Amino acid sequence: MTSVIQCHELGRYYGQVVGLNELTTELPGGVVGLVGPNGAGKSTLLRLIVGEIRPSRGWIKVLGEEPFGNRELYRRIGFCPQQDALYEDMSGYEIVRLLLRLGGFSPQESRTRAEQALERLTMTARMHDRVATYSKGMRQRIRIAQSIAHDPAFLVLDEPMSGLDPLGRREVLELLRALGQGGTHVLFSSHILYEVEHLTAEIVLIHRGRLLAKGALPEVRALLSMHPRRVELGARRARDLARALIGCEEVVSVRVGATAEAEDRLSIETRAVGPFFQRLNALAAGERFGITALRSADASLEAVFDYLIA
Amino acid sequence: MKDLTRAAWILFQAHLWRIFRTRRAWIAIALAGMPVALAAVVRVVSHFEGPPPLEVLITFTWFFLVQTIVPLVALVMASAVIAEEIEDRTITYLFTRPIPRPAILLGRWLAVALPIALVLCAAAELVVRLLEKPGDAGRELAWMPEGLHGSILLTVLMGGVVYSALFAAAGALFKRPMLIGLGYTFVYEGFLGNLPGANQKATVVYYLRSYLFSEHRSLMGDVEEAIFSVPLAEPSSAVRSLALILLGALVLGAWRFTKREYVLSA
Repeated sequence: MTSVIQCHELGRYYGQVVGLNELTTELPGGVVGLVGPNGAGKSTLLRLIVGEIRPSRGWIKVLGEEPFGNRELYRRIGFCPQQDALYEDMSGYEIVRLLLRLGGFSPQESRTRAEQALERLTMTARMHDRVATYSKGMRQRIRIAQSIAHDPAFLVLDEPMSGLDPLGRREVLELLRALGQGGTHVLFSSHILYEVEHLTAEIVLIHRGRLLAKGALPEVRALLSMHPRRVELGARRARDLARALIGCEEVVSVRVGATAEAEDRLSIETRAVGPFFQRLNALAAGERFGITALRSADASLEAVFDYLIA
Repeated sequence: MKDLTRAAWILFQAHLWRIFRTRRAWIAIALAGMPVALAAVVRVVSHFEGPPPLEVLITFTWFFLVQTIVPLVALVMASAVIAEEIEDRTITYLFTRPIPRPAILLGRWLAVALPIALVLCAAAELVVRLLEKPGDAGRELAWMPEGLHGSILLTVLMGGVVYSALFAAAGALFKRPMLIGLGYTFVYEGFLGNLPGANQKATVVYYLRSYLFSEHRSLMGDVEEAIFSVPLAEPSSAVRSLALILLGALVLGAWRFTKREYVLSA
């Protein structure tokens, strides 16, 4: 598949803060998930892609063109920004129609397309109400609607699931899947790997402004599974539980709380989270260790990424 | 050029009706209402009979309205033209449309310039009408020197439009256009425009004064004559200069708006 995005030593700095650092890569077409913890540089990359900001160094090409201020390119891309910003005193329909008019569509076609886009986001019933009266999820639907209304060849979405309820998430995932199947290139960011998995196997991982991994999700998962994960437990018989766990092959290390106040705490490192929890279940069922708390301390992507860059 | 005018027209239409829903518009209307309210008070409490002394008219229309209220109304409304889109973070939607960026400035400026002009002209007209004592009813401003009524309205109109262009451009040029505008209004225009010397020619107020007074020089008192020792420009020259300032402000603002990045935090 041909590259939709090409960038070479792409960097973007906000004064002393590095937003993106020497990113050299090509992103394929199709549906691609851009994954990284908060502050990883996802939004910066997306803003560079849609030409909202310029690179501080290096270059980026989107659909073969430099994006900043490129009006011809804007006809072919749709952008759903992360920020919850809309014209509060306008209705969702008015906003989508206005942006379609600015996209070059006639008044009649703008009306038709706005209605269709809002219908796809199940906003028909409320589309003539003022945005100020919308819930967070409805506002997100309007942002997505304006990004797809002109049938862009390349759709860029920054955290498109934020603010949506589970049903809304499913609907948007289905919509993005359908768009991808229809030939639209979709690049969307998320800090929740679970969401990305449901939509695509093609992901790009970035962290602290750097590209960490790129490719099919199973490959990246394999990379992640090589690194231990930490689980924290609270148990009344913490030392007994520690003794029981030490011999298990999934367990890399066990540490009992160092202070008297924390002696009922256990910190466990494991390379295989699934088998570890099965083992823990079996142990807890067989003997009363008085487990009071369980937390996968570094299940977040940020922690996983820390492992990767360590 | 076609894309520019088309997009500017669409934005003008979309934002014109939104203006009067904003708090800024109501502040601007309240500001414009101040000389009107004061004129109403003068009408009630003054002892002059028949037409008002022309000094009263000039005090109201020139010193109060043109020199103070016109730039303030323009500032309140026009400084938000670009700043509002940036602060509300809606600029992203406009920047990712296939339109020339100057169209955003132009369309949104037009959508405030028209209401500014209407509000200020209405205020000027009400001031003039209110200064007529009840006994003057039916004289249709016959007490005013010929052409002065039209000159006052045009001066207010031009002032509102030119200042609004300057403040709209300030929104594209600076992060805090309201503060910059206040400084400009009171320090630059207020001070430099009234300081004897050729420096006056570098202010908008000089050309507005030229337009209003060059054909009604007798209205300027001795004090004003002394202060405004700089020869007034001809009305046509004043209009040309004001048009140039307006055009220059819009071109500069549009150029900066096209080049500048507006980094928005999420």
